[in-house]
Amino acid sequence: MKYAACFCSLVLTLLTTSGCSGDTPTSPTSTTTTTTTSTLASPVYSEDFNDVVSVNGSTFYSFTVTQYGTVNISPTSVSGQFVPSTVTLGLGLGTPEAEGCSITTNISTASGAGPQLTGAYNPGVYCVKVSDVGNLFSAARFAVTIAYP
Amino acid sequence: MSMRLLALIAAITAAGCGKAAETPTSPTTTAPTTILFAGTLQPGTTRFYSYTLNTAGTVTAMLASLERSGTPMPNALEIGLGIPAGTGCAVSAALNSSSQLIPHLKQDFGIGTYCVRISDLDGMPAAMNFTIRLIHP
Repeated sequence: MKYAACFCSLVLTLLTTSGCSGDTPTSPTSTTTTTTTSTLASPVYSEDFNDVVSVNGSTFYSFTVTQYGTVNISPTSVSGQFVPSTVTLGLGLGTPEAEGCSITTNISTASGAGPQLTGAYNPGVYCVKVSDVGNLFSAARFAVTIAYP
Repeated sequence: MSMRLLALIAAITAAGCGKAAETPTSPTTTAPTTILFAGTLQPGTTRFYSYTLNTAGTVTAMLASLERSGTPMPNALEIGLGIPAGTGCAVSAALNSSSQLIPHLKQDFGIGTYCVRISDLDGMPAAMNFTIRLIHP
């Protein structure tokens, strides 16, 4: 019985040490981990999007972000016949697609001081879309400032 | 005892060196994407269409058809390739062309968002229906 147990141990040892011989041993490799820190750039460029939005209509403006950073969209004025300066319009940010602007962020807002739509964006082409959300009785002239890195 | 030992050896040898079977895969090739940009162009106006390239490569564009009330028209229009900018498409390559079924305009682009533009620079007598065929990687 003692002999059988010893033999069993020997067989197990042989199997576990030499059984899987298919793999060629490789030298240990050193791994270098590079940590990239993305710095959020502040807006450097500024463009004015001045246009007219018709009743139930929309219009958009494209711009190119050249480095990862903050994009600020500021509607600065709305005017027009039968259009109160406090009227709420749709303001969206997205990417140009087909004949429109496919928005990923959207708010309804009146014009006012300071950015009303802001976010961090990677380099690429983006668009701002201004639309009537059902408040207009006649076409509205608007101004939107787009600041981006 | 010998039966137990044999069973043990069999179990170890069967499960010990198990390497997952690798299924061979065929090399993949990405077929070009074709976009048809069709619409009506008013005299003296411009329209554009934005698209995204997920792979860098050559983009070709052609004015595939131009017709009015079903009748092919020989008018030449400007076709341009570029980047959406402002309220339009800032073209980096353009040419005047009548409709032909061969690629008119070719340009290499990296990954990103681009646009194709059609413009009536010569003043068509009336609105016409167009189709631009754009092929990109």
